Order: sequence, then structure tokens, then C-alpha cells
Amino acid sequence: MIRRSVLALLGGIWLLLAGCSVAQQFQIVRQSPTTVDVDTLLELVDLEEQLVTRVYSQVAPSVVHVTSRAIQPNPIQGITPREGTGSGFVFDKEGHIITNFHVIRQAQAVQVTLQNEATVPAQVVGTDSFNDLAVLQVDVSRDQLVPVTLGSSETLRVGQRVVAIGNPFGLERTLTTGVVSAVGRNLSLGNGRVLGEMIQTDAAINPGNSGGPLLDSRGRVIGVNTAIRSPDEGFVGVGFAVPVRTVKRVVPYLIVQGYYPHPWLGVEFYEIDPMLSVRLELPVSQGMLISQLVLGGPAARAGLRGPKRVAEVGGQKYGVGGDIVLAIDGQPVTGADELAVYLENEKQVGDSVVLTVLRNGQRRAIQVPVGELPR
Amino acid sequence: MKSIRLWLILVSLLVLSCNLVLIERPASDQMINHAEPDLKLVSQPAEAATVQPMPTQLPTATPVPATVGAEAEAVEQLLVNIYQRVSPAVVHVEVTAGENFFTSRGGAGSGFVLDKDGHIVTNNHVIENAERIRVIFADDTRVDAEVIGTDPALDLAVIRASVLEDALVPVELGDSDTLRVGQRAIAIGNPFRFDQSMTVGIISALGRVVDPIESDESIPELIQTDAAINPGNSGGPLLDSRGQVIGINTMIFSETGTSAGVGFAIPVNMLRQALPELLGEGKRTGQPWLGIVGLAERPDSR
Repeated sequence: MIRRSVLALLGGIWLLLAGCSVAQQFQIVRQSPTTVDVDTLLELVDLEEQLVTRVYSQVAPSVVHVTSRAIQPNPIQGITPREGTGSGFVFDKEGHIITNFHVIRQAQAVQVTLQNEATVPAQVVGTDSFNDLAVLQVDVSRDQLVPVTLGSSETLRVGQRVVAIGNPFGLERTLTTGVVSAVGRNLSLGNGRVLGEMIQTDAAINPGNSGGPLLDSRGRVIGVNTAIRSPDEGFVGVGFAVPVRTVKRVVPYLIVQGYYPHPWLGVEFYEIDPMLSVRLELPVSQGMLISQLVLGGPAARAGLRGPKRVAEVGGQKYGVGGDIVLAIDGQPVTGADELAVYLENEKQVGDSVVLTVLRNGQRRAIQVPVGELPR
Repeated sequence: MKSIRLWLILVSLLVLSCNLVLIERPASDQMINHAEPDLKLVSQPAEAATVQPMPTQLPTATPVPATVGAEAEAVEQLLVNIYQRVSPAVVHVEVTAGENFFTSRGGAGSGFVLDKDGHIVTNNHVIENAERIRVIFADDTRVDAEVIGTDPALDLAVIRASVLEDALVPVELGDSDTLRVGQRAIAIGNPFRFDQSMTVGIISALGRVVDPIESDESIPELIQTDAAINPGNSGGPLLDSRGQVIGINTMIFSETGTSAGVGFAIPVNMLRQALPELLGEGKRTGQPWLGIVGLAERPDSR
């Protein structure tokens, strides 16, 4: 009965949505007040609350507190210990715990506090700095471990509710909620590192949340909370999570062999924009000009050509005369980040890609076997 | 409130000074740079934790009827639906100003499509002093836009981009006179140039009066919201849960220049009143705004 009235209310909302036409442009159209039974409304609100509390009671036991201690050389004070805290979540009954790489970076000792307040030493099983993921393992009995359920990040829609559980400012198992603000963000971290296809959320994520799960409204993990956009260190409404798709791809490798074999072509580029195109007198205004080929790397072995000479424009030196890459597997390439993300997310070592290159004014397709990034 | 000096900041994006912060928490660092005495507990979480070593309550999973999930997800679908309908109407406004390469500065804000003629509403402070205005649509179409009308006093502007009619998805204007505190408020815009970002909150207060320090004019009756509004959100729409525009995101109240949970939007009915002039005669008289204004506390605004 209750369910029916809730559905009826939802139906009403849909009708209102459908009924709003563009025609009412500049006039105020006052909808006659919808008569909704207060009990029905309360029931609806209650359902939303129940949903969130259910997610919390389901998943909070899986969320752990990660403390890492590192000894860091400090030019002024000599060697100083550095302690960091973050979050993590139980992956399986074997005691594997997923967190961010940056939480345990350079750590000499890592400790994990479980749901039953037991603090145990953890071993670092595998790390992937590129995707900012790490797998730890704790040696505890299976009944102390409550693994999470992994969801899917490919079917996420903007506006969908999300729930974060973690340890902001050391406050254990804090629940925050929000929505998916955007999907598919590529975040450049410099040095050619790019976190690809990140989920953007307005759920409050703060220092200490790193490595904790981002969940959908059914309590399934859809991401790993990793970064925020902020002028200082606090949250301002823009947080980012590594999508669970990346977790599913990387974590099995980290567990088995301790590292993830990253696809690699052994080539570096200048991103061509209209200004660079004019300065270097290039035949195209978009694409990637090869700036460096790694000797014996996959691209060099496949016959791609690097720069032939150095051109100096505006005080800057450019290696020019090499191939210009226009597309990868038929998709136009616009930037180094996009290329890196495509390679990382869609390819595996041993696959091959087809690069469409421009050489001496002629287009040609060159197949390049995908190699492994040297570790 | 007494001693803290806060600023109202117009939320167009002028300088990209923020960094991406990885959110590990170095234990020794102070967490909130601008922490005032009353915020002490938050900035020293370690102490708070030792004072109260209380075990976190972890109820074992309570059985909830399976139908709860399905129905609540239907509610969630409302937001998804609004984003799908309205985000194509939201544009990214890129502005360049200045005489030459050395003095030029860039800015960014948001805007929304008003009609099939290509009229776009944004904040006046987004496009003020612009040499060139470029509008980037949701489908990545980039076109130059011209200023049609401005109202510096209300901080509103209408610009126009020549785009095929079919490519334009106008918003629906709602009614800001019937708003209630607690009602859901949804912002779509380009915070920090992350285009088409959706943030959700509620209406925190209505009828806020904000006094710019440098001007006699004040924008009356602003809508206050806790939906995250950040630099770059300026000029973007604030929507109700039907997806209709109820306000134009314009300012935030913040120490850091980024969202602290207190954002302000110009009520859409004010836009409605100004529209005939904005679309027709152009500039309305009124004193221009400066970039930063202070909030004067008024007894009647609380």
C-alpha cells in the first residue's frame, strides 16, 4: 500500500517534468499546489534515509583506517619520521585491502585499524603509482574481514547519489553523501602522469579520506576517493575518485605479481595547437608531433620516425621532422593525456594499436605492438 | 562570526591558483589553514579522538525490504533526468581581456541558453571588460558571442552566440517567488573549468541582502544555497527539482575564495524583470561592481 502511494507520487513528479514545456519561457507559471499526503512524503524521505543508513551499516565494517610511517630525509633537520593516515577497504577474505598508493608511499611500516578497533601491521602486496592504487594484506582471521561488493563505474550517470565512507581528519568511518558531478575527468598530475576517467563528486572528501570507497546507493564500490580540487587542504565541493573499472583491472595484477604492467609505446610528443603549427610550419593544426622515440622501444621498432633536426623558435628548441600522429585506432588524438588514458584503459601489454601518421605529406597507418612500460 | 573576516567573492574564475590535492592526511599538519578559535575541534582531530575513544557503532546489516532500493533509486533518477535535460543548455563562457599578449588576462564563467535565438544569460562580472567572449557548448561547439545587454547593478548580462537553432537547448525559467528554505537546489556549471559539473544542495535561506563595499547598490533578495559553488560557476543556473531555473549563481561567502557551503544566486524573477531591457535597450544604469565585496551584517538579513 505504502509502496503504491510512493510510486504514484513518483509518477506525479514524472508527469510534472513531462508537462513543463518550453512555451512558458518568460512568464511565471504557478503550478497549482500539488496535494500530497504528508504521510506519503515522509515515507518517501524515510526511504531515502533508509537507503543511506543501509549502505552505511552494510559497508562501514569493510572500511579501514590506514596509518603509514616513513622516515624521510630532510635537508634541514636530518632524518625525520613522517606519518600519514588514510582510508582503505577490505577486498577479500584473504585479508587484501585496497587503498591509495600515495597513502603508503615510501612507508617503512603500515598499520591497519579494522572495524573491531584491532590495529594490525599490514604488508604492502603491490603498488601502482600510475593509477594511485595499492594493495595491502593483513593477517587476521577470516571472520574479522567483511569484503566490499564491487559495482560498475561504466554505467554511472551524473546526478546519481554517491556515498563516501572514510577517515577525514582521522575521524573514523565518517559517512558523507553527494551526487556524481561528472564522469570521465582526466586529471593531469604532471610528469606525464594522468589519472584517467575519474569520477567527480560533491560528496565531502577531505584529508584522510584517501583510499576509502565511493559507493552507489546500493552500497557497491564505484570508486576509490583520491583527490580534491582545493586552494588549501579542505573540501570545496570538487572531489575525485579512481573508477572501480580501474580497480578491477589493476588489483588482480597487484595481488599476483605486485605490479601492473602498463601499456607503453616508447614515444613522446609535442601537442600541436594552431599556434605551434604556425611556428613550426606544420601541415596540420591538430595532432601530436613525435618529439622523442625511445631507442628499441615499441614505436621505434614498428618503424615510426622521430625528429630529424632541431628548430629554434622563440628561444625554445623543438625536435622537428618526425612523424605526426593523427589518430590511434581510428580515433583522432588531441592531447597527450587523452592518448595516455586510452592506452592505459583500453589496451594491455601484447595488444597492438594502429597509429595514423602523417609523414612527408602522406598519411599512413602503422601497426605498433603495445610494449610494457619499463619499471 | 564577530571576529572572522570573510569575503563575498564573485565566482567567475580569474586566476587558476588552486592545486589538485591528494587527500592523504599528514598527521602533523594543521588541517585548516584559516582555522579560527571556534573551529579548533576540527583542526585538531587527533586530540578530539583521544578525548573520546568511543568505538564506532557498527550495526550489523539491518534487513531492509528489497523494494526500498528500487524506489529510492527512482527518486535518484530525478536528478539524473534533470542533468540530462538541462546540462545541454549550460555553456562555458571563456573571456579574454586586455590590450595585448602581455596585459591580457583570461576569465571563465558559466551561462545558460535562454532561447532559440542564441541568447545566453550570464553574470555581468563574467563578461565585463571582455575583448573577446567565447562560448563553449556542451557538445564542444565553440563560437564567439556578442554582448546584447548588461545590468551591472543586478550583475546580469545577456550575450548572443550565432548557432543553428537545432543546436540550442533553452532552459525553462521557474518562479523564484514561491521558493522555500529546505527545497532542493541544483547547480550546473564549470567550477575550476571542470565543465558541466552538477552539484546538489538545498536552499539555505531566502531574501539575503548583500551590500557591496564599494557601491551604494545592493543586490536584494538573493537565494542562499549550500550546493557547492566555486570559481567558474558564475552565471550558471541554479535549478529546482523540476529542472527549472530558479536563480543565477553569482557569489560565495568564503575566506578562501572557494566553496564553504554558502553560495548566493540572483533570483530568476529578477532576471525576468530585467529581460526586456537586457534584450532590447541594452545597458541599464547602475554602478558597476568591483571584484570583491564585503558583507555588511544587517539585522534584517538574518
